[in-house]
Amino acid sequence: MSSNIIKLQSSEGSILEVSQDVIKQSKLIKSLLADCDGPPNEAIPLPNVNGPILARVIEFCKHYQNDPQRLAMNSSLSNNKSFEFNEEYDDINVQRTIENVTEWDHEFFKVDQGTLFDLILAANYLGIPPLLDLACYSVANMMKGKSVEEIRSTFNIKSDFTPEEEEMVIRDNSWCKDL
Amino acid sequence: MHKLNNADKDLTKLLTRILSYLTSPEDIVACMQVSRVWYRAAIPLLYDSPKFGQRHSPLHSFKRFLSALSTNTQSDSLSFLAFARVAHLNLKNISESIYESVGDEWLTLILSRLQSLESLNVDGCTFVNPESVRLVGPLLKHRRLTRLDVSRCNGLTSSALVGLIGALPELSTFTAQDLQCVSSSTIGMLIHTCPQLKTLDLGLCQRVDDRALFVLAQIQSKFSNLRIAGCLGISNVGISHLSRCKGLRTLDISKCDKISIDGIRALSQPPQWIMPRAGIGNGFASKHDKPLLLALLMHQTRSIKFHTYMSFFDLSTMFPQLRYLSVSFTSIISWFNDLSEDTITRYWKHFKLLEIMQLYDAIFQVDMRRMAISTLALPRIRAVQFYRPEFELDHLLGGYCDSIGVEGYLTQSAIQELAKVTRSHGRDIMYSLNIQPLSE
Repeated sequence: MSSNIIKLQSSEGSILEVSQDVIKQSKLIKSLLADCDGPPNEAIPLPNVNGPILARVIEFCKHYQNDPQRLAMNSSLSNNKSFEFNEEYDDINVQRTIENVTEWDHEFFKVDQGTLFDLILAANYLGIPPLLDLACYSVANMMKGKSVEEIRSTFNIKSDFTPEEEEMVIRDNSWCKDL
Repeated sequence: MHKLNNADKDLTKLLTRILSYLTSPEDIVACMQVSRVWYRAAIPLLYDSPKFGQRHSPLHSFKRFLSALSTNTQSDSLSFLAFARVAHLNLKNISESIYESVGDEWLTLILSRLQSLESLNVDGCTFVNPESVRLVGPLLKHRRLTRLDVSRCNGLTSSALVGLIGALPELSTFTAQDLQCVSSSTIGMLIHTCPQLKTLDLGLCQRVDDRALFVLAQIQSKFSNLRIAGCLGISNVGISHLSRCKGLRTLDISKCDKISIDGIRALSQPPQWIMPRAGIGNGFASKHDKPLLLALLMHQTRSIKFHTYMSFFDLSTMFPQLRYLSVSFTSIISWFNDLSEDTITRYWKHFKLLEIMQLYDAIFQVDMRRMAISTLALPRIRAVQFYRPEFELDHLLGGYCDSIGVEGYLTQSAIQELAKVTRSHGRDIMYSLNIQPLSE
């Protein structure tokens, strides 16, 4: 067996084999591998990710293995930062955009809601920013242009506001529509 | 199955991130009405750093913001808590029209109600005037605001600016480009009121002179970044005062035409004396009391000329920590294209930590072979950025075009060639050619 292959164990115990170069896009696995000398003989247990989702994550990583542009998407910001006089704001709570969503991306994320949420959680857990970004973007697209009721029924959510609270939320935030 | 509701903590933690891909404020407002969890997730997107002018004019949306802020005053209301989150307010270039203006109480409202405000940018705003500062009064102090940008607020007077600074004792970054009311007395007030001051940008302030830098040099502790680009009143005398700011790390003196290499040398020397402070020091400087610059920007400073290559490479001895350097190519051109390969390799490597180099006024063909050897000799270099002025030729085909084929001019293809050469040596250095703005 090539020493480049490592084994990953999903939550239900199934084992998937994947090349190190592919799965190194995951920050979690990259740091795990950095801690041990050479590839581990035993499978790496990933209790938070089930088999089918893990397979999809690997499919994503394989597709973008040789696409430095997509991988660099999140690191390009920090390049000259320390010498700027006007420091960038913390980018956690600002509106984001994604450029160049490809046909392949659209096809990849044409899945049911449950799978999409599982992918988000897996991407977050494994630390794969491009996958997390694209999956979040896909979910956000399901909300665009919809009314409150439509969003509730799309995601099967019951409102837990009291009528007074709901009225207050609408009234107090109405200025935001004029941004 | 996972659901975007209360029950699923892991997923709802990521809800803010999901909602951040919604571009229309209306969509976000709809989402915040879905449920309590969604409300909490959407609030940061609308309130932490409000973006004015997404659908309406920036002036209109800012005025809506102000009126919402002034009406929601009950401390238990939802939006009172939401406004208490606002951390960044960017009002850059919002200007009044002859039909619509902003009431003078805007500043009082912002400083008294936005408790978490950390940065306020009013660059070029027409409603920043003495009256709005007067209404704030001498007693109101905002203890969270650390970054203020009042560039081009030419409605301000000296005394109003001093009053405004007086309300902001925690300022660490103060930007006042092209502001005519900034003088040595404003700076005196600033360093007296704001002990946390770290970064000061006074680009193009014509009344900032040697005396202002003398006053500034009285700060010893945290002050580290200074931009005085285009301050034509500053000479070598002013720069030599800065040698007492031993915390100084970034200095931008581009376009300061009175500063020559003698001023830079004086800056790198320990000062003749330092201000003795209570119990510390005897007034005599030790050799360690001098600035260790990390970044030095001195392009388009016409009096800076490196007549010999030794005077240029001296910089690496003066500032051994230098990571970022910008110079005009014209200031080194007299010897650059004549250096022998051996000399190039021997001397450039003394810039041990240099990561980014900017070369301005790169009009005529730089000897690319020498440039490649030079950058390869720099052990830590990541990016070399060339800047050239605009040419008439750029506009010939209805927009910028690459002046390819014009003899002697630096072209994109020459830069690409440079990248190829360094890549063949196994180094990944980013080269770029940019157009420098005509006037700044």
